[in-house]
Amino acid sequence: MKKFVIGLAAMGFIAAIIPAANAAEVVVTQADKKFDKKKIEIGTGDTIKFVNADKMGHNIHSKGGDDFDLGLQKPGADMSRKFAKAGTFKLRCTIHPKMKLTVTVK
Amino acid sequence: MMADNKTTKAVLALVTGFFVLSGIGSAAQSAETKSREEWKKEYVRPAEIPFPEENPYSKSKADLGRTLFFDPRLSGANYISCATCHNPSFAWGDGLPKGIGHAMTRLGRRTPTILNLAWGELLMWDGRFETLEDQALGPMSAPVEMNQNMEAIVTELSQIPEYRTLFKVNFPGEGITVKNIAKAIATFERTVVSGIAPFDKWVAGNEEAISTAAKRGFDLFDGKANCVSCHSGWNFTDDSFHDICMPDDDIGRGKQVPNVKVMQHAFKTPTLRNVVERAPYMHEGSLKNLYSVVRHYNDGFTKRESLSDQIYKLNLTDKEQSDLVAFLKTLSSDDTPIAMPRLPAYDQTVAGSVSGINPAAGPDSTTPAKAGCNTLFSHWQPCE
Repeated sequence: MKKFVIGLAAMGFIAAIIPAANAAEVVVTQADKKFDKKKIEIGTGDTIKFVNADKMGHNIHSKGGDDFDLGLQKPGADMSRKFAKAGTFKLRCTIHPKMKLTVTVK
Repeated sequence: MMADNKTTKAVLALVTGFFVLSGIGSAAQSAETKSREEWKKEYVRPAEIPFPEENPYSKSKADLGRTLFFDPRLSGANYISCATCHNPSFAWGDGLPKGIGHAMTRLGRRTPTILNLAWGELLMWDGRFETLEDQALGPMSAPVEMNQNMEAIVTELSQIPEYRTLFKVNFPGEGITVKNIAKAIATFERTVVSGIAPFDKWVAGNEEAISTAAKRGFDLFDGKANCVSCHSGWNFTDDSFHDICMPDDDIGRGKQVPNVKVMQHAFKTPTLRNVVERAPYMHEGSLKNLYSVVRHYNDGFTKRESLSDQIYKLNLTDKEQSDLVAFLKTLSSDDTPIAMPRLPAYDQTVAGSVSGINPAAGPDSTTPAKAGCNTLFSHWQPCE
């Protein structure tokens, strides 16, 4: 019985940590008014960590799907966004509209 | 397998993060230590004009677009052409603090130049159009601007024999449509590129092409004055949007993205090519010359919450401000004046006398723009 309880507890612990282990974090860098990639493919529930390695502020924004606005991101700062919905999303810096990133969430 | 991929991604992310963080300092440092010669490389002109796959270039289509651009019959009252406001003699602006549209309606913002729009991203002061094709139709259909009924324009142009032929040649199987009018005008607009300026000759290696004061101004432009943070690249704009704190209530880009704080009162960064010919300045045309512009950026702005993080007091001396203006003057090209096109004639056949529009009617002053349209935010969009 004791073994059974320990076994159940262990299973519960494993179940609890599986989502955390599955959810990855991918880094996207902003420098010279560009994202370091134009397209990125991630899994549902993954997080993108946006790092501002630029000399100026950026403001990542998405419209027409999974709408969000990360707000002003100062130089040297990083901001994260979890993508919980599958689909293809167009991200842009609202300040510098030539900075574009397509995120495909599978 | 999935978990493996995720693990790999996580490790890659960590590794990338390390390199990114390591790179922050070096990126900032490299900008600070860039020499004049290194900066000059950032301003080399592109070799080709980019045209979109959906609307490729042909000379014939650009010529048709040019004819349409100068044809006042594209307006509702047949007396305002695109070129009325985008006048090539004023470097494709109108020289006015704010544009004037249908029935002498004063518009909300200064007329922007159409120079170098082939490289543009989000058109208009507030960036509400994605493409030049979309933009071309905006002023045409806006009641306060050209006040054209877009169904009527197809009928009107269809009654002009030469237009029928030109559209048939350029758009086989489609002919005159609103979409094709926009495509032709956008193709022409992409060919409107500022010519070689003294600055370009200097960048190309001719040290005598600009003065010593202008060279000092270039150093300030890329350094202490921080102009380059927005007016970057050969076209002297990165197409970014900023609140530079002009003292008016126009929220600009904020109307398009109302929930983004830094977009309130933000406007598109204009090109500085041929800037001398395009006074007055700023989106509301309040600054008369380049000295007043430099003074604004130096310490003349009032602060508000949405102020761009690139705008701060510069502490430029009078001499430095003069050097900056000397530099800006080197951006004007000495182009051959553009020839006005001959516009297609109305139908002169017997049939045309019955079915054609009456050219003698002239501007229709009995149909003014809708009351209440002459407001700050009505610029280049239909009023309701």
